Amino acid sequence: MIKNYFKIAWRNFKKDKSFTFINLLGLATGFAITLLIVQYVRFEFSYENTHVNADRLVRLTTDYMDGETVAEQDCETNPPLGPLVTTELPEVENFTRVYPLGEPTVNISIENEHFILDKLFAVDNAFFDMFTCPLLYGVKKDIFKQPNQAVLTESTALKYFGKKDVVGEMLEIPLSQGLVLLNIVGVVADSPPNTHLKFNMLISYPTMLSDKALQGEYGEEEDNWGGNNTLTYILLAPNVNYDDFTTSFKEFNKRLKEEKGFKKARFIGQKIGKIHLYSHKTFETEPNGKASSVFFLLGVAFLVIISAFVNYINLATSKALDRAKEVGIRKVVGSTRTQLRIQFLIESLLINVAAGIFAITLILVSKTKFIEVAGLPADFSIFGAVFFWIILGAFILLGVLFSGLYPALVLSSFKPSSVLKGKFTHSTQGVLFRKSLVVFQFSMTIILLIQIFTINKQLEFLQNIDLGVNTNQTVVVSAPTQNTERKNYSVFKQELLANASVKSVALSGSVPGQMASQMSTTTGINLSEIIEDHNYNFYLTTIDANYIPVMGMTLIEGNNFDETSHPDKREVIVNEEAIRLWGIPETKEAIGRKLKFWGSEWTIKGVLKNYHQESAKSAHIPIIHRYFDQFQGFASIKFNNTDPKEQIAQIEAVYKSVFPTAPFSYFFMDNEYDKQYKADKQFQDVFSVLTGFAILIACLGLFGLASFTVLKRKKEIGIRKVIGASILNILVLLSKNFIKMVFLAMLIGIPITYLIATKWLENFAFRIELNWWLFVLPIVLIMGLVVFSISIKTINAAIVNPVQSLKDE
Amino acid sequence: MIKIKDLEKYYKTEELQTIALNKLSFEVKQGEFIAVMGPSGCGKSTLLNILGMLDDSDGGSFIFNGEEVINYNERKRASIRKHNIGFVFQSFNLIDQLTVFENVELPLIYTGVKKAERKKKVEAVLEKMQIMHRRKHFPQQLSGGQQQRVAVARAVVNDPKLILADEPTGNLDSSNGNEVMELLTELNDQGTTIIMVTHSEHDAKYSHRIIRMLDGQKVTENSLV
Repeated sequence: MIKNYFKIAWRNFKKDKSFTFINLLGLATGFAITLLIVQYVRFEFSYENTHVNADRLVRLTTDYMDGETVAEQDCETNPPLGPLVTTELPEVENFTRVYPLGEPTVNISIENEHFILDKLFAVDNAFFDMFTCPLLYGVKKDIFKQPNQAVLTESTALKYFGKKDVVGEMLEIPLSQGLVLLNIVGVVADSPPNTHLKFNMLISYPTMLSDKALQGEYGEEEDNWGGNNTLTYILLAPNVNYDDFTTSFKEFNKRLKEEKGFKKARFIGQKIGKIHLYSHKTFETEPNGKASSVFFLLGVAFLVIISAFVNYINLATSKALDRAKEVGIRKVVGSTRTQLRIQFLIESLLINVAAGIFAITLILVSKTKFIEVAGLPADFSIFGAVFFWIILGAFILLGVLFSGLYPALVLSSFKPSSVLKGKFTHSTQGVLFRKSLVVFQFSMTIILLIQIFTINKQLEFLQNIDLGVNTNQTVVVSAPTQNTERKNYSVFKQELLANASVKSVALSGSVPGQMASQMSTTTGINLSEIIEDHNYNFYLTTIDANYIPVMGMTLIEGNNFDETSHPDKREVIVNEEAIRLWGIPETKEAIGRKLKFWGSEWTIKGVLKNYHQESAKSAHIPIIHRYFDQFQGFASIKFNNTDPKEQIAQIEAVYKSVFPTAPFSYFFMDNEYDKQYKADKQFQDVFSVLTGFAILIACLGLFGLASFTVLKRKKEIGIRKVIGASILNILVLLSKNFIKMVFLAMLIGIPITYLIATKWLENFAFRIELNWWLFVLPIVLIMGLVVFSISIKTINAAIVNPVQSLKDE
Repeated sequence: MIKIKDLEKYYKTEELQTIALNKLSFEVKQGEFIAVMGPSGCGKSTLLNILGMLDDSDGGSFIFNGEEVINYNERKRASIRKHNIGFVFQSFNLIDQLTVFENVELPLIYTGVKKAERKKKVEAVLEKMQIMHRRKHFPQQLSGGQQQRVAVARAVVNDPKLILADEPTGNLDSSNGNEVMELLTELNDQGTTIIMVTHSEHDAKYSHRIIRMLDGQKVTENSLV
């Protein structure tokens, strides 16, 4: 019996190739895309799960308060916080400080060879007990109790030493105040891709406190409640309820406020599992994802697969007419309803299994591309996970149930006495059900199209915003770390300017396009005459006299620095945002006003038009520019109409000759801005792919449905033609129902999509208005598609000689 | 074998009710060959559908092999049907996607006959219907006469006690039609009860008894033997 079912299913598939193709393609792409998205979501939610203690690990962060409201949230905390909280709260078992060094990079030297290293942290000894990072070489006990100890990851060791076991080797970090000498005491496995705290090298926290060169550069003090550049992680005691800890921690904050006079800030904890998708504070160790985006993509993926199921239901029930006779005969010769249901479910099972296999092929083909687009680690294993196969199995099962059950119920209920006589009509209820499915598909397509149009428009808008900075043809070179070499800047500059294509060179502590978190910040800077405190965070940078023209910034009031400027003159150039925060109504009134910060008085020399320090995604930030003419952060080199890429070799040669012990590191300024759109681009890419497939699947269904409509009404078309209807008349007649459904879908889709789009745009400080055409265009597109699919089929049917189509009936 | 009494059947649409069977009563004995005649719309096919348990009646009694089946549910009716009744239709009603052999085999599958035995039975009946050489063909590759022979083969493969034939020669030319009638007569001679709906006086002459109907009622009943 089962064999017979398979046989007839197979022959039916072969007979109705377009039906089989539409279903197979729809289900397979639906499966493939949803499986890939599920894998992506699984990865995003797997963050920190490699840490055995993940449930007990908590990061403490700082909220800057403006009265009762939170003015700013900062990941970094003060060095004494960890030790104090561990002694005072019984819920806390241990702590480690994690000091991010040399953001974003430091230079290291190994036997007179110079390299650039990123992701370097100074951590306490407890780090190795709290986080899971197994030592491959070295002894764990008291590994970081002493200063000047270092641990490398496996690949860092391999990269710099050409071998993995480097315990006992030495390396140096050259800093402006001297060399930090480090003994390598261990090698650990590389950080997994799914952790927010990835590192290449760790040094012992005591080094921060005792090493002269590090002290000179960073000045970390163990009991300093003033500076906060340290990340603090704590390990809760086993069986401690997180809410209990939160309560105790609130009390702790209160005591801190009273005993230490800690008024402007409070500390809050966050479980490390909640960092990657939920935390967006300043000084995050890496840009984090967004849970809402991840869920959004997951939701869309499920819509795609449901859409594929809908196609199956619609096509299978539209085909009912064809199958009705078979059902009738089978009943006549003795089949029960159950047997028929099983038969149709088996057909659906076959299609779904075939689609599953086809989906695996699709995934195999698109895997590498998807991993790249979704920003997953390159060695991400898709098929290796048991989870993948469980989900695939579940999809097939769901597919059989969702897509197979309804047709099975409908088809098996036909009465042989009527279907065998050809007296067969669809019940109105069934038609209504199928119509709602089509409306659902149209609504989904409208929503997705409008979303994708909005996203594209917004990102295009951001990239075309006037940044207030001219990033063209600008190469930025990092300063050497040692003072002895920095002194040779004037030689470097002269040699660069000897090259005719170099227009000018400017110095600065940071450059636009870098994340603001890489700049230093100070709170409480205010006009001298104002006594009242506020808690705005001001961003500080140093520039020389060439900087403003090189960056193409606009000075709207006052004067630029010049050859007479000197750091001791305590003059600053500020931007409009800073003026606004100080409450100065007119920019021209700002010139000459006095500021107090760092215990002295400074004069406002000029006001810069706001420029985007970060990408146009973020709001303007208040920036204070001090004068400094030493090579400390970056030198920006502006070129005349030449491609700066071709000049890199030459710049490097000059750099190497002037600063022989410093590694050469550079970037193009426009790239720095582009990097900040990476996450949005990624979201846009993944979403575009998804939307593309969703629309493809909906179109397939529409096309199939249109063909069946035409087929079903072939006789009617013939009769109408005999009476004198034109092809256009017939087209209008057949499209009318579909157009009605599109309108209904529009009524459902537009309010939903309006809400989603508005919500999404709120993520951006600078955003587009939701234009009417953003809503109209997708609908026009869908209408076009409907008319197109129906036209093809109708014209085919309509040009047939009516005698033919009437005879066929 | 069959005893119907006051059988009623209505067709209802929103506005009107049509009476298809109006208190129809008659009896059929084992081994009889009955022809049911009458103009279009007189209720012949409705009667056949009810006798074949493909349709419900709206009143009366229907005793099949001594059992009152009027209130049986679909499952029970399907079970009686597959063990006792074979159907032959005017439009043959073969499944296009199955071969001749598979079409004939179908009733045996539903009654749970083992594969080897199915093969034996199907081949025997195909042999008897002289259609064995076409066993691997699909219905659309056969002539009308051949298709109807396959349909008869399918109707008898399960050795039913009753064959219900709905205008079995309606789509056939006279020589093919006669052939089918000969087949039915032969089956009847071997003991199968046959009830046949027909428009053809010629075909009706093959039967033992003709029941003439009009407007859902029996008008005359005349025996030919």
